[in-house]
Amino acid sequence: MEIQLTRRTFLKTTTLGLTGLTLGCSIGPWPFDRKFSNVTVWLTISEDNWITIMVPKAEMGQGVSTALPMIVAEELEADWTKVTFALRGELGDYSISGAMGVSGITGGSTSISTMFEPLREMGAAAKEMLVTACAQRWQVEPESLTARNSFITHSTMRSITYGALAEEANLLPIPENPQLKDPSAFSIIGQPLDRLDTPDHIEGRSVFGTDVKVPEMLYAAVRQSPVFGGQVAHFDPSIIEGTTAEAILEIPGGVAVVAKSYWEAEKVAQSLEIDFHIPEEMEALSSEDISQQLTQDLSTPGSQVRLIGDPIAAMESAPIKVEALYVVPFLAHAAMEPMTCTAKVTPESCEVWVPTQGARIVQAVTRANTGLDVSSIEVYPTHLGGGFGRKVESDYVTQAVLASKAVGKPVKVIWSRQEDMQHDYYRPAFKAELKGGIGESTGIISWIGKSAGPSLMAGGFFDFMSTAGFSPLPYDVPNMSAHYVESDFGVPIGWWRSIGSSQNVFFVESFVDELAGAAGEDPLTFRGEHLKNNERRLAVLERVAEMANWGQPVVPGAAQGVALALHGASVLAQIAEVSVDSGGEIRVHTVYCALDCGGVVNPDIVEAQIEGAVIFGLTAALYGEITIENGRVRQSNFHDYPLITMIDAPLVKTTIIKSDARPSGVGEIGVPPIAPAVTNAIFAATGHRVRYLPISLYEFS
Amino acid sequence: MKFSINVNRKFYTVDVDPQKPLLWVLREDIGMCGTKYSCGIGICGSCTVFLDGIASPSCTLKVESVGRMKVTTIEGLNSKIGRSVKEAWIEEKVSQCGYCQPGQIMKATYLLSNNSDPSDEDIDETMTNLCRCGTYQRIRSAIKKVATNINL
Repeated sequence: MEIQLTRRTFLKTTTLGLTGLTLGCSIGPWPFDRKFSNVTVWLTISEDNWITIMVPKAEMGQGVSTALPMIVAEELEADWTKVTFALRGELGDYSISGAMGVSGITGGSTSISTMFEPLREMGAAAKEMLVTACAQRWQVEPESLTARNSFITHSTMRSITYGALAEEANLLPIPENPQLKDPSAFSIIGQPLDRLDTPDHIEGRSVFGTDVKVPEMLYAAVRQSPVFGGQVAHFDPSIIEGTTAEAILEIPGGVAVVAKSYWEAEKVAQSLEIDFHIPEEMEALSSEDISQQLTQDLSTPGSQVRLIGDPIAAMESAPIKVEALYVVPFLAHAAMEPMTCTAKVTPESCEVWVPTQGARIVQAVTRANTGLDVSSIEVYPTHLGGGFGRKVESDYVTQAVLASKAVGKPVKVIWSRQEDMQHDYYRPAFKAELKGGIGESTGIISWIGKSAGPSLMAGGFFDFMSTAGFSPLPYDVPNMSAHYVESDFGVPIGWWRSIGSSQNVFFVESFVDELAGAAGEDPLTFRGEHLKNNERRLAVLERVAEMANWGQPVVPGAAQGVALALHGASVLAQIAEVSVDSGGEIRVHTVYCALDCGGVVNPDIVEAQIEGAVIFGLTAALYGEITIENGRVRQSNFHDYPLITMIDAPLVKTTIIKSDARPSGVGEIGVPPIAPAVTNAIFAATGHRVRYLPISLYEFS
Repeated sequence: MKFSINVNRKFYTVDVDPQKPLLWVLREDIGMCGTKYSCGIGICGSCTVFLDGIASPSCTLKVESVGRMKVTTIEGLNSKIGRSVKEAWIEEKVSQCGYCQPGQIMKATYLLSNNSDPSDEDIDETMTNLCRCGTYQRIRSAIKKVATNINL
């Protein structure tokens, strides 16, 4: 890990809303002495007093391009109406170390929680430098000056803009211990401010990966082995003769066709006949095989993830015993923007324009494919048309780099929807077996869980990603064990919004409901009885019960189901109100969410994240299923991998519990509890326990 | 083959394969990238444009079929209702990643242009565009806000 040295640079910079160049002041890279020793963010103040705050995290809809600048602007005492942002790759000067290690990834709901303090310090330090510059210019005491709304005002009411002071401020030493504001004085942090990126989105001006334009750019369409693990055996390059394609080249596991238009390239790609070497074991692989293998894996001991007390002895003594098996399928990310990347490779350098969650990974694969030094590689992040974990991967980057290298011109790779659906890194299929013992009026006395599925950290000592949400339990249970069996089917798997919790919270929260039923108790009261030692979780559960008027659904004939999820330091409880009509049709009317995520930078963005996560998770719960036949994915587009549309979208109501704790993440926590909240409601409505997802596999009548 | 097509009240002459879909002509030949590619089979709505005022997918429409129809894209959506829809999108804080939103805005403008007071059912029926970020309830609120303003 490199430690950044302090330096200050003048920058010629163009700021939004201006034409031409203005001389601005750049502050940073920024040294942080605390646990984030090399957080670096650039701040530019133009002469006309616009402040541009660099955002070194991927903007994929979660709102970092507004929330991160809000943190800086608060301490800087900036005029929010004249703040804008610029996206930067989390690389070099913008490297961040912290909760995500040195990976430089936007993921794990960590952007706010890892950057909150560093960005406050940065804003405060920049403000102090501006005040000092003003004091020196006017020959007054700094204490006689007030910074507010991007102006500095003297006690005599004389005032000056930040922009007019930026150059002088930039010559000053960076204060080591800038004075932070008392949170009670916050006027930007905590406000539901409009997002900075919306005005461009609604005019079609935002530049997503697919929208990048580079002079002389060509386009590439790809065809990858339909069977996982297949390699190109043979293709006839002469196939492009007589077509509009300019080049055809082999890429890892497939072929890229390059043309002056994406549509032309795609048309030629559709007519390609490519022979692939298919791994024998993959040729016959089906979802049925995977299911059987998971069942078999569950019968093996696996590795112990957790042990509390003596669950086996406690189980033997339990008067009530319950067992259940749960199953979840592979899932695709299906971001609205398919995989895309633009690369311009020359013998000396490479530029990459890409919607990515991991600029550092982009840099690394570019280096590997060009042999260039990282100092010759520029990564320009674009807006992401959805990420959800898929755009951490770099398969599409490699393709663009190889294609550009081959043709000597900039190339933009765009995947067709079918390529995107069939060449994802899927949320892994899993099975889990749970056993519970209930004592006489003592609640759960034993919990024994085992899950089996592909590992996200294969070969690792302990796969905390795949077991997140499975262990530890959110509840107090005196005797408990959890085991995990690693399975491998050769199907690519990856990070899918909320990762292991996406399946594990379904297992755990369904089973808690089953235990409550076996104990003859109300599911919400039963949960509360196992949360007596955790005030925050209990408070969230009580709040959601109030919001939903637990036990008294609004819609006649509807039923309610509850579920709880944890992510980082955040706690979320959901209650879904669901009807199942006489024809077995399921309708999710309303989803109530009570969230404790510590302090909040922008409450509206937090609510939007929860609303969106409920829809994302509900889509998976209701219909999401990627199935495998002959080693290939059956689904190809939104007709056979449907997403929720307006007509089936429930109303999501969110309450954020007020907290003085430091902010925690919110991007993922809304996903895991919705499946069990809905299936628990279906049980309450019909007496049918949904143990397999998606729910569309069942017929209720 | 050369085609002259009317996009946002201006004629553009493009020399392309007659089979090339309007979406890619807009994006590659005319340089307007606000209209998005996502499914390519006309079901997700990301590529929605107006053809003579009717909201239609542009990813499945061959350029040779555009003929004299007037094409309106998000970049040229400046009608009174279109502006109101865009403003409501800001007020209701609809957008997340933003990729599908040009298509959603086109579809909502089409709905409100033909029905100034849409019911929930009308909204459900017309607003079939996909949004992976799950902004549906805010889209619904924004449409209702515009309707309220129209009918004041």
